[in-house]
Amino acid sequence: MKVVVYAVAAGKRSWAGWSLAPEIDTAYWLDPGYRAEAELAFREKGNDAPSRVHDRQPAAGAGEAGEAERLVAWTEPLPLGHALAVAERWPGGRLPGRRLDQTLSRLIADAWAGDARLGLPVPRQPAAHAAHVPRAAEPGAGRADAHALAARACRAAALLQGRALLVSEALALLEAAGAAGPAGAVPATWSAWAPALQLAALLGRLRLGGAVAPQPQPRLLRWRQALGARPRPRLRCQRCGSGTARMRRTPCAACGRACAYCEACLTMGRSRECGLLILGSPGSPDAGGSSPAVSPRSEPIMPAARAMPRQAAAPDLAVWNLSPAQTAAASAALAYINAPGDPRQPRRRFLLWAVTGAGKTEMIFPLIASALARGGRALIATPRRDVVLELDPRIRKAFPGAAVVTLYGGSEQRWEQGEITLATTHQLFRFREGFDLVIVDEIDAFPYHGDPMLHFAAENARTPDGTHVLLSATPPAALRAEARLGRLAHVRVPVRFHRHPLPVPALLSMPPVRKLLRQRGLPRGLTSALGRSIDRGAQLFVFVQQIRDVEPLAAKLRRFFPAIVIAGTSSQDPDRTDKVQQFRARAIRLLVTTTILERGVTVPKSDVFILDADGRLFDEASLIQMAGRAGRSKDDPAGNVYFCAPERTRAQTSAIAQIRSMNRIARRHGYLIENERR
Amino acid sequence: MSVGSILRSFRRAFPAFTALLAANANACLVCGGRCEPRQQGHFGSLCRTCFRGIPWITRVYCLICGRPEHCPDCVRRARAAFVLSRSAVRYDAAIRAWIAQYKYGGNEAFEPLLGELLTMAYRGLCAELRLPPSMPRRFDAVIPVPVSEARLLERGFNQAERLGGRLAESEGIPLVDALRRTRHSVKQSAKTRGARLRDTHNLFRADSAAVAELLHSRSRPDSCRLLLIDDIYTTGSTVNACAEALADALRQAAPTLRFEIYCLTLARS
Ligand SMILES: [Zn+2]
Ligand SMILES: [Zn+2]
Ligand SMILES: [Zn+2]
Ligand SMILES: [Zn+2]
Repeated sequence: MKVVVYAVAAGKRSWAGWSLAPEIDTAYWLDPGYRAEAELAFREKGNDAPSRVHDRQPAAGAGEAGEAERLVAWTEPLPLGHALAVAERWPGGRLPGRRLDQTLSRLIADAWAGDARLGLPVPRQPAAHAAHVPRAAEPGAGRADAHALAARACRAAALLQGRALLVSEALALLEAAGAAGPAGAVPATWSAWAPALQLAALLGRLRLGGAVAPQPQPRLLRWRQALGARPRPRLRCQRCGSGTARMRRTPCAACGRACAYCEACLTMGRSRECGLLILGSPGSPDAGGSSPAVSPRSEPIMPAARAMPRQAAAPDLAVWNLSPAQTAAASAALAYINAPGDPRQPRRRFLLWAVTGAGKTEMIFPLIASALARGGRALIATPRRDVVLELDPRIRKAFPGAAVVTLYGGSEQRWEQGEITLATTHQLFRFREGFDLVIVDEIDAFPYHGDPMLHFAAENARTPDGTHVLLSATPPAALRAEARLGRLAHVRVPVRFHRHPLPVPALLSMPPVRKLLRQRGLPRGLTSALGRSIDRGAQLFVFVQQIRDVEPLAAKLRRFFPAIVIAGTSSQDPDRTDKVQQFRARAIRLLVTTTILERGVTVPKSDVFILDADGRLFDEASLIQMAGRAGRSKDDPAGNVYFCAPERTRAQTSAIAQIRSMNRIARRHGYLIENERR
Repeated sequence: MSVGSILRSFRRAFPAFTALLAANANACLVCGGRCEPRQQGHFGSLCRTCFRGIPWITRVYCLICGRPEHCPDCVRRARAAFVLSRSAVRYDAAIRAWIAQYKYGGNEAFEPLLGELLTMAYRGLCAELRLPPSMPRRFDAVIPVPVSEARLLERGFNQAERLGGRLAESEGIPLVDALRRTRHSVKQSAKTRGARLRDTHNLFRADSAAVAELLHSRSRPDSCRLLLIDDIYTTGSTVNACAEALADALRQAAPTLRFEIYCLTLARS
């Protein structure tokens, strides 16, 4: 889109802004009566806003700025990308008289010249100049308008709170909320909402910025620029955090220039240099369009003015019926969450490292309850959609009184606001500073693990003083190292909910699967171990590396064990869900599969055979997760796990070491049932 | 300065524009699998499976619209304003997904590939019409089917104009943005066939300045051959309405001129 760029001189200050609805900015800056009325209406309305709102005095910035002496606006609308650049590079300071106009003209010319330097075609510009905008003939005449518009702005700000949305998404949300008023069926149009959004931004209740925007330049560079150094544009997707490497520049009819869009988050709607990103988190008031969309984390927005004080007293955990290890972990997490923030540690992350089958969902219940008790909002995100769908009924059951919103691609509740939000990690792009508690489950699972874009989204979804809780049975090495070095607050849950030790994998030396499939027989060690498991009535998981080995191996095993039903499944199997169901129901006794079932699937009384355990695709985390399928139920807590391979790799030995170490810690803390017997 | 002329100036300055910051050149554009480097041109951005899945139209059934099976629409139409229409591929699920990703999803990385498909259709059309490559100007202009101003602002581009622009560029034919959409119509796909035919009446008009430019640049004095471009041919009502508007304008501006309007689309549904 194109926006109107303007510059204001007020006493010792000057600034550049841009606007979706310039008549609002003009009235706001040049007519003190209009501004006072809007601020008054906003304060009245602000109190009945449904959600947590930072109680801010909007007058602070305006007071400092004093009376606007002169306002000049560029006579042609400019591409949003250029408007952002002008606002970002505005020198500030006192600019009396024509110097204001000259500075605006110079920066706009610079922006186009920057395109030319990049080798981008610059369309011929229509003649345009900075025009002085006169004061309204009758000051205060627009008071009634100001009041009505402020009411709409307030409603929009409340509905968009905690969100990060593109224009089309914001309109869909406003429409879904029936924000248009009693005639709610009217589709939300941009021309109807732009003035309200602009006023909300002026009053500091929303932040408006480019979806792809120049990264703020370090001070030193700015200084060099002032001396004539060429500015090097570094674009960043404000929604997913991707840098220039993921941008594609194409001629754009919406802004009339070659503007960049982000390819990394394209599946969530196109984030573009000339497209708006509306952030429903309070910015600095009066900033107009000049504040960067992402506020630096090192300056939390007025933590003292937080509406809900942190709770000092330890909440009663007994209601949750947790095991001793679960209780200890939940208390440690709560203590961290409720402690006052450490200004040197702005990230506020807490790692909950809980072994497979520890019952992490139960452990997060008290954390959610505590966030809700403070009047905050909680988010539980997980990389996988099936986990979201599985968690949904459990959360609703545990929190019957809370509004729960479940989000995934195509979810019906897409634009709803709740106290507890359950979402796939991709949905986090649509939030910014929206949650006091952000819990990310399975941080080491695809696609979250190794995707900086999803990490960016998760980190930005929490309020500046909110907490980010990371859950995993197998945290990535980098996080483990941070925890070890004391840089990451964490707690380990070394024992399963049933308080029996984790089954320790046994090593079984045998040839690779490829070779087995070519031979007539099967190694004695394998057949006798499989036979023992079958005889004891267990369900057998047999993991292989390659999808192509699944069916041939299943066929071969059928010949050796004709008495039981054997099936194979992989990510390419359309009947996978059905087969897993049958496996759970014991209609299938042995299931040959790949890492696709390494997590999430819990089957009582099962044994685990990992073939080609030395393979490249089975890393330490993957081995621990697969081993974690065994011994999950209280009735059969032991279970057998075999790492079958010709070679013993580092991944295998460290997986075994990690399992052993967890058992040791559990024993030392007295968490195991065997401790009690003694 | 119209949006169209800005885009034209872009293209002149930077023909390979959208390939500018292409990342991950070895992954298949569609499925992420490994690419087939031996494929010609932009088909190299596909893996073997995706390339083999392209539903080429190799034999047409309806000689007017190029449909590969029986076609009731052309029989029903009393008089078509275009001579004939040809398409590169059938509009199957895969092509539907490609076009949707490009047009609605804004994934402009698909543009070179779709442009290449259109070029293949163009070569087929020329062969069918016996217009040899040695012939200097096989067509006098490439004319894209326009989208409404609102749609253009929302999407940032007109797919027909972009794809037509690529064809025009590679074949050395002038691209003339000669048509305008007079009103914003409801999405074609959301309507019934009858409603679609009714709605397209008077939906387009020719821009007189662009028509003058077109007449000025033609290579033969008494006749001209024009090529209308769109992404999808469904009932033919859109291209026919465009051809009608164009024919009216040409008859008015140059009453003695003989002209033929052909259509070329990416996909035939
Ligand atoms: Zn743009
Ligand atoms: Zn992005
Ligand atoms: Zn492919
Ligand atoms: Zn036909």
